[in-house]
Amino acid sequence: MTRLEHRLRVLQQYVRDEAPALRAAAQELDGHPDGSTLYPQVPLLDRLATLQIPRRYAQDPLVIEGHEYFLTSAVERVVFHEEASAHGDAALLLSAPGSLTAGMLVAALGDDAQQRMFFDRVRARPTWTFLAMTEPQGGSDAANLRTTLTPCDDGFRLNGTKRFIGNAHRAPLGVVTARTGPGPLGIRCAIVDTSHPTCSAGPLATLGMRGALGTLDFRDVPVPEAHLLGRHLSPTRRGMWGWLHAFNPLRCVAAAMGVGIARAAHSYARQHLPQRHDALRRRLDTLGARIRGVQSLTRHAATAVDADPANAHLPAAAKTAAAGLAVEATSTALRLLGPAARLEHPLLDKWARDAFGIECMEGTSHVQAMTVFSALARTDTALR
Amino acid sequence: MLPLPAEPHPRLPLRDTARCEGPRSALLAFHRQAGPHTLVCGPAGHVLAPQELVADATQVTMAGRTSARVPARERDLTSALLARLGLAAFHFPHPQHADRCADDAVLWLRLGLTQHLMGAVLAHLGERTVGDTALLRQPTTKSALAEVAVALLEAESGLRDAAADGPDDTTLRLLHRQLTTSDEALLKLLGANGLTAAGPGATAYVSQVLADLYAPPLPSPEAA
Repeated sequence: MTRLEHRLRVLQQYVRDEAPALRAAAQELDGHPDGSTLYPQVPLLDRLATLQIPRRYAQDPLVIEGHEYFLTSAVERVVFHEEASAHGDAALLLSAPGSLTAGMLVAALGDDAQQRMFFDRVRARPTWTFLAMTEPQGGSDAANLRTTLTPCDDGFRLNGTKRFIGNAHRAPLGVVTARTGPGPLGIRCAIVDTSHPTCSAGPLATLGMRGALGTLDFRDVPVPEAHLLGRHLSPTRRGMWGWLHAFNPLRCVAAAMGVGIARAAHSYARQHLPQRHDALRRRLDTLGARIRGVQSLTRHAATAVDADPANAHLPAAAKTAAAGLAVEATSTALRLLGPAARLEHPLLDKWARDAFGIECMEGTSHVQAMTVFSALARTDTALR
Repeated sequence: MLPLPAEPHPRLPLRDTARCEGPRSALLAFHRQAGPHTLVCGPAGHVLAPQELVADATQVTMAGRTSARVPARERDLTSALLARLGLAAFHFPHPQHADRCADDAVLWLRLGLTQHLMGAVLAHLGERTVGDTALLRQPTTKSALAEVAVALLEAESGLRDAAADGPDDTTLRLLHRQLTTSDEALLKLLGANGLTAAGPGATAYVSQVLADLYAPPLPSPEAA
């Protein structure tokens, strides 16, 4: 899997050609005192906005050299996001309109009417969406979820606060996780329209991934029963078990972005290091070998998730490795280019800050370690 | 923080300012110890300081040599993030780079900032639970925090035992790297809270910029 098949190499080359336009736009956004209010028009992002929609609801796949891409498989998403991060910018990808995160939940848990309602709206014009799970007091720990969906005459009322939500401040539509009752079966996902006056959203000033994150506050926001995802599924399938599975491909995408950031930093350092400095160049060679290893792991993870969406440990391992790699690659590049590389090479400084953002996406390394250990415990008799 | 049973050290007030009050106060103390209206340059002529000090300073000092500032020749390197934190950075075109970076004050300052960050992490984790278990009771959390505590004790021991004229450049680079690694480990424990511009992540960021500007550079190809 390390070597991509021809069809995926065509996709890779397309992204590689289009992605450099992201870079200048990303620097402008990062350097703006309040980058969260900006969103640059870049053709690749406009195109991405109407991809990642299940084939059944999509009308306009990306077509290159006769190949069709819907960007709904983990492998296609990984190729796209790694290349766009390596030659463009990962933070800008996270700020892009489209249905990367929320769409996965809707595709995994939504019935036909729900998917049609959601994806028709995303497909009609570039539309930002959000997946709101993390809360101020409990992070992404599902057991501590406090946002509630309370039954009422015309459906439910949504109350709670979400933090660190991608595109919360831009999106008119998204998916919110909330409690309808105690325990893991009492956690549900709902499609929420943020146009209601008691729903407020704002940008969140961050060090890395600037402009991508925001907060959401819900006060008695009406949610029709028809917007609760998974109503056609059994209680176990629509609850925590169901939506946790949707995170496996997302972890592959986060890993791909980490590999992309590492490649960008590696390439940048190679370009700017003096040719004659063999000792430093050897350090870059070692880093390059590690990048290829994590890239391979990420592609294996994506292939495994496409074959079995319940596969959790490979995406967790890839995401952990890639988050560490992104930090290592950017800090190594800064050290080799120093002194003052953070200020003299603002793009590299930005990537170093963005690299920590990969650590925070879809569960930190400590959370991923638990998933990897669970898989280890299942396979090793000594641990059972 | 775990204290070392050691004699008082002249850099302790700087470390303690950083630990108790954070980056801005620590940078004020760092530059003020060089004298009035004076900013301390890194080995390649870079300065990071609170904005009001940069506006007020008339001279810079590097490796014991003091020069009058020449604003027309200085290059402003203040990023949007640094400005947001009330800091400014610039490059002073020093006629000659320092032979070595004998001043270990930046490391004491960074040690205090890492301790400041650890205090923030302990406070944050103290309020959090996973399921019914306090995060601070999780073995993985205990282990990660203990490893950082060990690294900080090692760094402080190294600083205290340095020669009278300060650690050599190799030791300085190693200590800077140890503190950066400790900051990264602490940030991981904060999760997304380490990413906010107004949160503890900003302490780690300022510390990393300090290492970038004030650590001795890697040997040139000729020296290597």
